[in-house]
Amino acid sequence: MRTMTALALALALAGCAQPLYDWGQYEDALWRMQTDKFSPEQEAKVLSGEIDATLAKGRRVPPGKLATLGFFYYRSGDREAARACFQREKELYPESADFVDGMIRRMP
Amino acid sequence: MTRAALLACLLGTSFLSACVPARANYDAYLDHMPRSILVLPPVNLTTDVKASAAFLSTITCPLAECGYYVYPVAVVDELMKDNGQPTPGDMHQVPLDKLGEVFGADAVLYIVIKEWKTQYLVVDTSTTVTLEYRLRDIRTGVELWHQQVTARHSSSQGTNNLFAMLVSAAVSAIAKAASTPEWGVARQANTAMFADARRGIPKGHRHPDFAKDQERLKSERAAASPPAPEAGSP
Repeated sequence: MRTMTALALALALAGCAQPLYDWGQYEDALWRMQTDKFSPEQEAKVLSGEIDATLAKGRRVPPGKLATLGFFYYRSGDREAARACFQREKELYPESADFVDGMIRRMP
Repeated sequence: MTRAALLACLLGTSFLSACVPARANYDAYLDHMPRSILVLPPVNLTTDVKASAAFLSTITCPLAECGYYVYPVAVVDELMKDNGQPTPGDMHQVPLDKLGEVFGADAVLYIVIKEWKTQYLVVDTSTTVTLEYRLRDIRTGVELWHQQVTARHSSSQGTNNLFAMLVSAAVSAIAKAASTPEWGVARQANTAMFADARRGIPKGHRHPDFAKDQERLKSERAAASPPAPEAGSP
């Protein structure tokens, strides 16, 4: 109960009743990237599962999460999956177009 | 008083060490209202060599929840390293037009970490994080927003402390186990700073309150500088 109250307060602090996005482990994955335990394959699995679940619930995937998943696929050697994720980032967030197009061009 | 306002007051007195700061000037911000923000890895002025990398996983959620598109910080970091910018200091020197070309962002957020430390005393553990933020319009180079914040957390405040509860609620279980105390405090500093009614950042175009917030800021601006009296009026 106390946790729920704290959560409600935290959300009120963020200035909104409910978060705009379904964050999942996006930022946790960024943290783990800085550690020795980082495995792009493992992180790609986590983020990809979360993104499917978010979309199934009709919630929003946060900005940058699909591009980051694309980057994890790229680091795992899966160029096709990487490219697809970057494209999906651009479809969800047209603001990312220049960046995404550049990333796709740069991928060997 | 709404819950959010109550919290803002509580945090204003017990958490943020700013001493009645002046209201930020949003004139330039409103004139160059950004939709997308490129966050560069922060320059670290402290002795903790891991601070910059750790900070990078605390900024996306608070900023994107304000309604902006936030570029994927880790991908940005890797891309710049691959292109001859090995450190945040180098990245902060890249000309704006070059950043605009590569990322197509509307604005760039430059962050400097000035304090990042935890003091372990006999009866108390105290964590302090000081951050300076500078947001610049990528096309004109105009400074849109510039603030500094210090956030502190002390273990002697006890587990019933509101701030401790906020931090633990905001941080997911996995990260909490793996991260450092500074991580949680930095995250909370970002959230509180951006949401601050007088000094925070305006709501972005993807936020449901975008239009309302724009209207509020524009009417505040109009009130602060009343138009000159019409010629010929008595």
